[in-house]
Amino acid sequence: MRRVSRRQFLYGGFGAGTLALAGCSTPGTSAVNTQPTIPPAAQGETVRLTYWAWITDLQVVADIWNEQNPHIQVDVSWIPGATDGGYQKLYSSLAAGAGPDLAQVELRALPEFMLVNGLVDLTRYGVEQYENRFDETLWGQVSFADGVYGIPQDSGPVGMYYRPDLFEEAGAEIPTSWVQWREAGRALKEKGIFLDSFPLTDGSVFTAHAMQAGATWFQAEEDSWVINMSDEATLDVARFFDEVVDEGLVTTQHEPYSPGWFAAASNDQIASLVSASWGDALLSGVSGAEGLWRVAPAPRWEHGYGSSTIGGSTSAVMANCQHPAEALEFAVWLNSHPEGIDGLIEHSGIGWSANPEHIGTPRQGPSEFFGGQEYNTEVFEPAAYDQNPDWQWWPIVQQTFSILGDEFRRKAQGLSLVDAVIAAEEATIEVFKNKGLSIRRADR
Amino acid sequence: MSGTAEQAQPTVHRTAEEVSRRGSAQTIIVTGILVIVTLYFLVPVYWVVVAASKSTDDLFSTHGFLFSASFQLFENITQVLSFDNGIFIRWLLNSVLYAGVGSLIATYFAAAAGYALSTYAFRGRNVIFGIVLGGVLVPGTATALPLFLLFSQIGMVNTYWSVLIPSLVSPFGLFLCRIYADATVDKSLVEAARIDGVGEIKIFHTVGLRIMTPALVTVFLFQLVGIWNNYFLPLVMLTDEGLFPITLGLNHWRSQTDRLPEFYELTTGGVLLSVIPLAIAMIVLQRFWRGGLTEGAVK
Repeated sequence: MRRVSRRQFLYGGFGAGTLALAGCSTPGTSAVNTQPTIPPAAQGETVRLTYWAWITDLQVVADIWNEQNPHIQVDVSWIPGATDGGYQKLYSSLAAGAGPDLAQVELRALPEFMLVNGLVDLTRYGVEQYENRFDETLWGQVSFADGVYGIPQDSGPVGMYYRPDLFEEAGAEIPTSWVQWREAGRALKEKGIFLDSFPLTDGSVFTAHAMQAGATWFQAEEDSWVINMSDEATLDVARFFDEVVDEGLVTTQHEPYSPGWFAAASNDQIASLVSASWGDALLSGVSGAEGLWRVAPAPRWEHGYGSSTIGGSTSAVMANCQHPAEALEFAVWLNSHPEGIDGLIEHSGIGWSANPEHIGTPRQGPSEFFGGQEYNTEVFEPAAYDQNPDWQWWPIVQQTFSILGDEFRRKAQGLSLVDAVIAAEEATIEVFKNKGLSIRRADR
Repeated sequence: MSGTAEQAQPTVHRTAEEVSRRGSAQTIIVTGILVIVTLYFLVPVYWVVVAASKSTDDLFSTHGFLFSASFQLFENITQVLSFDNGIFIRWLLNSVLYAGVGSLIATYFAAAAGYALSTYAFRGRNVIFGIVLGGVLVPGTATALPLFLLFSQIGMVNTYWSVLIPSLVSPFGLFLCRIYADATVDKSLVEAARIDGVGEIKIFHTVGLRIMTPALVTVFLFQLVGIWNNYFLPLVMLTDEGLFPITLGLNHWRSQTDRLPEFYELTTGGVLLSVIPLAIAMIVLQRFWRGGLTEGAVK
């Protein structure tokens, strides 16, 4: 993973002027990382930490820690998921100079929180000593400019869930490349079965495909962000899905995991689903699906990597935290200690563990739902380490996803995905400029 | 059959018959429109009832508007009420508190202010009225964040007060009360009471409030529905699950469906239950409401 240097950070997209601007626009925030560090609490003093997260029953996991660490007690509050109101709540509490000590922040949202001085740089509290406990790719995604702004919690390596019976019925092979995948789709179409679904309203799935194909949409350079959304890898992916959608091999009506999708899947109308490891729990919501599905590695492009990732969160120490040293200690335990990871999987249903040494006890051994397949160790564990290491998130990821979604929707009016990607790149550049972030196109 | 009847009719009656036919055509059109509108409003409610009676499996595998073979409405509702030590009942009571107390006091304030602006002539009363009226145009969502910053400074976020206090004002209610008081509270009646030696506050309570009752019911209902359905203000203000109103609580459950599909049933069951108090309030209070509007019109 190519790290961004401090110079790049200061003079790059996050430039000093921008930080000042962000500081002005969000009352109450101050550059927390330029103030003196807060020393750990004195011996014998009890520290109470608050933690806002939207994963379920995190308090149960925190209580395991609370029992073993009487001097650092963690209280968890539930907030709505990310853009459903959770971030809104975090931003407003930051502006009020209050809020929790720790919070769940998605990997892709870290740069946005950094723009409003919302996160503590953990290198000031000695986070480097824990680096070796975490997956390299994920550590790269929380590191900016020699700083570390969150402890990776989980990720979502991509594989392919599929129905062997439907493939067999259509006489199709289980694909290992996207070209084979499309051929299987043609055979399935003759039986009236969709190969998969392609969401036109949500850019994150397409982004994952581009990431797998080896695209790197953003890079922070010395003087600005460099955007490269319409590189050859991305356009290849767009052209490919243009054909697949035009041929009617995939449904664009039902987004994966939407009620309509569940209905179609339980009616044997959907043969496969290229999605993240956390999709396993959702698949179990398909009526009568037990034992019918299996998991295979994601199909490969001719270039790029074996897998990509969708989703993923961090435990971030927030700017108004009064006890960053203790907060860091808990965050590291929660996300790297086997007890923490197993608790998070069992009670909170997190995605793929951020600690390569421990994928989680509940994830070992055969799965009844997938017909006895040991799919986690067989498919997702290798997938988690076959990732695009150059990928980097940028400050307006959510907006880029909705821009992509808006453009994709015009596919219904005859616009191609290729045009959509090019238009989305333009629109993203515009948003960067409006935010006062410097950006330029990559040289080709 | 109508053909034979028409042939039997003498020509003299034709105009009268035409009038009645046109009348019945109008009735049919109006009734038709009303039926469509009723369907439009009731279909979602029907859907909620159907959805709340299904298991999670059936919810996605059977037709949305048809009951499935296994009818488990009561199991679902029991589960909603008992899940997590009955947290849903707590949310329901919180909503009743926020919406009930909030709209009662808000109505009283709106009535007092509207009555005062209507009855007393003082310098700047139209300026005050104009400014308050401006408040009608500001959506509640826009004020939620400034309110949060304010409450945060005085250390009152994450308390019952943080949702209750902002709910106590209703610019629209004040507007309605003033207009209504202008039209119905007779100045000579107020004058007569004063001559009898009744204090101003008492005149307001015995004469003003009583005459304005129909308008107050309207304000109360509007405010009740407004607070009951408010999502953004409690979202920003509250962190403690025990303080959540039903809107926030249901969203909490809905968000769990990503990992735990059984929450779909809890959510639809909860939605069904959460509609009931509002439906009761509407049915009980609607007669005052209707009476009120006609009274104003006749005047």
